[in-house]
Amino acid sequence: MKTYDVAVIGSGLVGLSTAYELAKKGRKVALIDSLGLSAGASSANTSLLLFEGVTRGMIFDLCVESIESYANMAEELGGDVGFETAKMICYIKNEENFAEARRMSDFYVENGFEYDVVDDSTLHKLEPELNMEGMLGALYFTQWKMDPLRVVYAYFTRAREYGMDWYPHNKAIGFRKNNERILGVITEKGTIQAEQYVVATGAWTRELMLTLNIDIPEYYIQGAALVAERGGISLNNVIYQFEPTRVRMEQRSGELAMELGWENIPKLVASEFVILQDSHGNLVSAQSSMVTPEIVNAVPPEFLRDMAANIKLHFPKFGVCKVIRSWICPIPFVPDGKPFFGFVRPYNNLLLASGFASVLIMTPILGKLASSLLEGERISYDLSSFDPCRFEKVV
Amino acid sequence: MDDATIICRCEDVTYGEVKKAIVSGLLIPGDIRKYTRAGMGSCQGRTCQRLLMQMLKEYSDSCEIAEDTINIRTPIQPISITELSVWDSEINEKE
Ligand SMILES: Cc1cc2nc3c(=O)[nH]c(=O)nc-3n(C[C@H](O)[C@H](O)[C@H](O)COP(=O)(O)OP(=O)(O)OC[C@H]3O[C@@H](n4cnc5c(N)ncnc54)[C@H](O)[C@@H]3O)c2cc1C
Ligand code: FES
Repeated sequence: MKTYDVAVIGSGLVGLSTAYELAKKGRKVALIDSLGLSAGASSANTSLLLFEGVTRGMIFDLCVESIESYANMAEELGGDVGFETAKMICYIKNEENFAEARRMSDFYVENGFEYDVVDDSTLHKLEPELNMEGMLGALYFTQWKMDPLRVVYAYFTRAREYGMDWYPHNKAIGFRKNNERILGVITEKGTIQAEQYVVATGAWTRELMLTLNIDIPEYYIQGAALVAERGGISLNNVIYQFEPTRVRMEQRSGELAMELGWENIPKLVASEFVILQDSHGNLVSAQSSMVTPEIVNAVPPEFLRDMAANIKLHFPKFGVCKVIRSWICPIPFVPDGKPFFGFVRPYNNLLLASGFASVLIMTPILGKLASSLLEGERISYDLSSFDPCRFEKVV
Repeated sequence: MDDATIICRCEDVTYGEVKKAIVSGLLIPGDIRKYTRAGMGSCQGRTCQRLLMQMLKEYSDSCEIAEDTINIRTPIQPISITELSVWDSEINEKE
C-alpha cells in the first residue's frame, strides 16, 4: 500500500493551500474530501478579504502577510485569481451600531487604512443607484476581494501538477492509531496511510475529531446567499449593513453549546446583509443567518425573501433582475473567537487547521504556516493561543 | 471536436477547458460547473448539460460519476428579485 508524506483531509481553502505548499516542496500528498472539490464554505462565500477584528496583534500581522501573498498569487499559481481592492460601503441603521462602527473606523485610520465616515451626498456620488432610506450614516473604506472558485481551482490544478493525489468522494470516518501516532485515516473506501495528517474539515471538524474521542468545540453558523443574472447591474462598491448581530449570535451560541451541549442548543437567527457584484458581473447577496445543529441543504424561503427584499429596498432598479441560484452552507466558528491551529495531543503527527473567522484573507499564510509546522521549521509567530487542546475536553 | 470548440455558449467555455478539468479529477457535473463555469450561464446548463455529461463519461477513467452533491439550488424558473421579495412561502409550498 502506498504511504504518503502527508494526508490532508478536507479540500476547502485551508486544506488546499496546505496541500499545495507541501506538494510544491516535493512531498507526496493525498488530498481527501467526502464530496467534490471544496464542497463546503470555500466555494460558497462572498469572496471578501476582510481584516479580522479591530485589534493589533498576531491575527492582524497574519492578514498583512497574507494580502502580500495574494498580490503575488496570480504569478505563483499561474492564472488570474480575481484579486483586487474592494471599495466597501458599510451603512448603519441605529445609534448603538454607529458608536461601534466609529470605534472600528478609528482603529482602521490609525493603522493606515483609507477610511471615512461619509455624508449622503458623498454616498450618492459613490453609489448612485443606492437608496439611502433608513440609513443613519455610512463608512467608506477599502479592503480586498478575490474569486474563491478561481483560487480553489488554481491551488488544486497546481498541486496536481506537483504530483498531489486526489481522493474525492472519500469521507474520512475515523483513524487507525496507537498512543501517540495516527497510523492511517479510514475512509469510506479504505484506509490511506501517511507520515502526517492534516484535518482541515471546516464545519465538520468536530464530527471527525469525535471519532478520536476528542471533543473540539468548533461549531457552525449556516450562511445563505443568492445570485442573480448578469445584465442591468452595475455596482461600484460592496454594500453591507453594519450589524454585529451575527458576531453576537456566534458568541451566544458558543456559550449555549458549552452549557447545554451543541446538540441541544435552540435555533438562533441573525441577519447581516451584503450586496456585491462578483467578478463575472452577477449580483450576489448574502445573509449570514442561523445557528442550529441540523445542517440544512436548501435556503429557508424566508431568508430568500429577506435577501430579495433587502436588495429591492436599497436598489429598487435591480428588482427586475432574475435570481438564478441560491445556497446555504455551514461556516465554522470557535466560541472564544480563536481558530484551532496546531498538533492535537497526544498525536504528534495530526495537525488541526480550522475555525478561522476570516479564512479567505488568511488562506495563503495558513498553507505556508501549516507546511512549516509539519516540516518542523521555525516560524516567526507564537501560535500557542490557537492550540487545539486549549479546551482539554476529552469525551 | 477540437479543444477550441465552445461547448457552453452562455459562458464561453471551451471543450479543452472542460477536458482539462475532468482529467485533473473533477468528476461531478457540479464541480465542472463551478470551476469551469460551463453550465453556469443564464440558460442554467439547459443547452450544454448533455454535452458535459458525455464528456464526463468519455474522459473520466472512474466508472462512477458521482451524483451532484453540492447544496446549490436553482429556482425551477428564475424568479425576479421583486417577485421573490414578496414571496409567500406557505402558498408556494402548497402549490
Ligand atoms: C454565504 C457565505 C459567505 C461568506 N463570506 C465570506 C467572506 O466574504 N469572507 C471570508 O473570509 N469568509 C466568508 N465566509 C466563510 C468562509 O467561506 C469559510 O470560513 C471558509 O471557506 C472555511 O474554509 P475551510 O477550508 O476551513 O472549510 P470548508 O471550505 O468548509 O472545507 C471543508 C472541506 O472538508 C470536507 N470534509 C468535511 N468533513 C470531511 C470528512 N469527514 N472527510 C473528508 N472531507 C471532509 C468538506 O466536504 C469540505 O470540502 C462565508 C461563508 C458563507 C457560507
Ligand atoms: S450554454 Fe452553458 S449555461 Fe447556457
